[in-house]
Amino acid sequence: MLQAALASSWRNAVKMPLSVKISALWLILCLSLVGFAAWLPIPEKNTLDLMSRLLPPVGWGGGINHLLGTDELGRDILARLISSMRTSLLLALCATLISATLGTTLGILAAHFGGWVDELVVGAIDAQASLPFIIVTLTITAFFGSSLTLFLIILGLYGWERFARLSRAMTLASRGRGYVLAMQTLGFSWWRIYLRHVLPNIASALLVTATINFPETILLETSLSFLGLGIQPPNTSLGNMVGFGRNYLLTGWWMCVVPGVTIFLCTLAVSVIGDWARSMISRT
Amino acid sequence: MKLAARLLRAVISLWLIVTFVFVALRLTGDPVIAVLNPDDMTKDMMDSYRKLWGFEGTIGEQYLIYITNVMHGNFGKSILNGRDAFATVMERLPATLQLIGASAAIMILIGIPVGTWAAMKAGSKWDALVMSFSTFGFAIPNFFFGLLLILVLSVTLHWLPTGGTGSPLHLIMPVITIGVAKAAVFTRFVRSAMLDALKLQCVTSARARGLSGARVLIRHVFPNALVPLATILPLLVGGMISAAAVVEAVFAWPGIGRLIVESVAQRNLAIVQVIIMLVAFVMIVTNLLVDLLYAWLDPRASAAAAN
Repeated sequence: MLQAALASSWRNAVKMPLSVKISALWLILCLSLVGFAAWLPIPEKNTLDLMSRLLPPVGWGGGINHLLGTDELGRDILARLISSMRTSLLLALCATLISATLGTTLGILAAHFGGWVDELVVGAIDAQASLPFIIVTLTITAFFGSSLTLFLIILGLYGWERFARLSRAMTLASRGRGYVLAMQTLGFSWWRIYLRHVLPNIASALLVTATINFPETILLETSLSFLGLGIQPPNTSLGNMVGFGRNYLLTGWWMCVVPGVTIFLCTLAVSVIGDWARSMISRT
Repeated sequence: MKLAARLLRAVISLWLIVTFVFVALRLTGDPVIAVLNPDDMTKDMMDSYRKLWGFEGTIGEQYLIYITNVMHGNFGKSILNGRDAFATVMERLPATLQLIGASAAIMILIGIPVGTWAAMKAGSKWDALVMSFSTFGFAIPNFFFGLLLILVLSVTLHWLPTGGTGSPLHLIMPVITIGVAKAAVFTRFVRSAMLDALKLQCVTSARARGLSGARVLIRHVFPNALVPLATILPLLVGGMISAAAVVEAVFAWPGIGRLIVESVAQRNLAIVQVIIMLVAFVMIVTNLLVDLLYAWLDPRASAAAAN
């Protein structure tokens, strides 16, 4: 059975549209850069080189020493970019996991208990969906200051209502299904039925939701870091790189264009793959 | 009955927001120190402010006084210049409304024709092209899109001012940044609403009766597609305040978006609480109106709810 599943996923992989293949390759490239950063022959990200300040990238007059150019203090932009990618991708990944776990748990609880629990969860879903999240985030930051932990919690709250709504609806729908009735009749506990049987059945839909949530979380994190209210120096994020590069639009456009394009390509790649996955699921 | 239940839910939502802000303010420590600047104040002055704003007595009494103050529009003073917070926010509101209004117009002017066209050509390469652009518009960070516009239109071509306000020219780039990005989202909604409407039996029968393509579109497809679109549109427009917070900061546009970003950086809590409550109020009222609009546009919905 496993072999059959592997074979069919391999056949699907061969049949993927070109855009999906390119997106997957881009993400693999980003992840390998992040993973193997220590072994790459590039300068250290905080090494100052005042003799080679504001060098353009290769192709725009820059040299091979600094592939993507240097910033106002002569630091290598590629090295800073890789470190920022690690922060931004890792934060978005953790935040999406938190949001998926929280949302799915609340959704299943609401569907299971019904009554006032359901009312409460649905009310919270409506309230969250109607408030512009970035304004809520700004308010929480104003009240409690900005720390990395708080920032991760805030990002982790983003989009939980989408997972909750989906898992609630799908759990409600699954309760009438034969396999759940059979489990109930056999006397299995509810948590076992949910964990071992209902969850795997809704997993693919949750995964597609995650491919919507992940790029949006990257956009939220980079927006806040760009505004100077998210990741703070000396840590770097793709967003605060764009924010600092903004002051050098006249003399060093690459300082903001390089990280900006990187954000765009990462969110685009995940969205393209997500769209494709959704069309695959709706086809079967 | 239905209306009363909806009104009640809206009031509860508002009350939850006010309570959330009250709790958050208390958790930050002494609210008078948080809202006012202790360096400029003697102990007597701070005590008198505590008394004035109701920060004396038990937490229950404080809560009641807080709610009364909010209902009277008394949100405290800006720590920056000591001016009334509510008045400060209201002063900046027109600039944001102007920005959002113009962006909404761009969004509708692009979204409806392009989405309709894509739905009519569904499955073709034009449809695929429209959908790709929509994905692009969704994926590009709005602050970066804004900076690219500045880089090309201001820094390189010198056609437009980089930011600020004062002439219609200043409005062009911020409006493109928000309007085009939201048009990408809206186009998808229009396309799928049109696709659903095109599948309806009345459309097939109108075609069978030999009506012209344009007539079928105007008399049969649009009215049916209007219901889902009219209900999503106010929410999309309301949600533009999020984009405005970032884009106003990029273009130095003097609206409430930039005000909240500055106020968060300065921890100017009086201003922040006015803005969150204002936004929450607008969104909750919008949601209420959308519900009512939906019931009015599609009597089946309220009939189904009544059964």
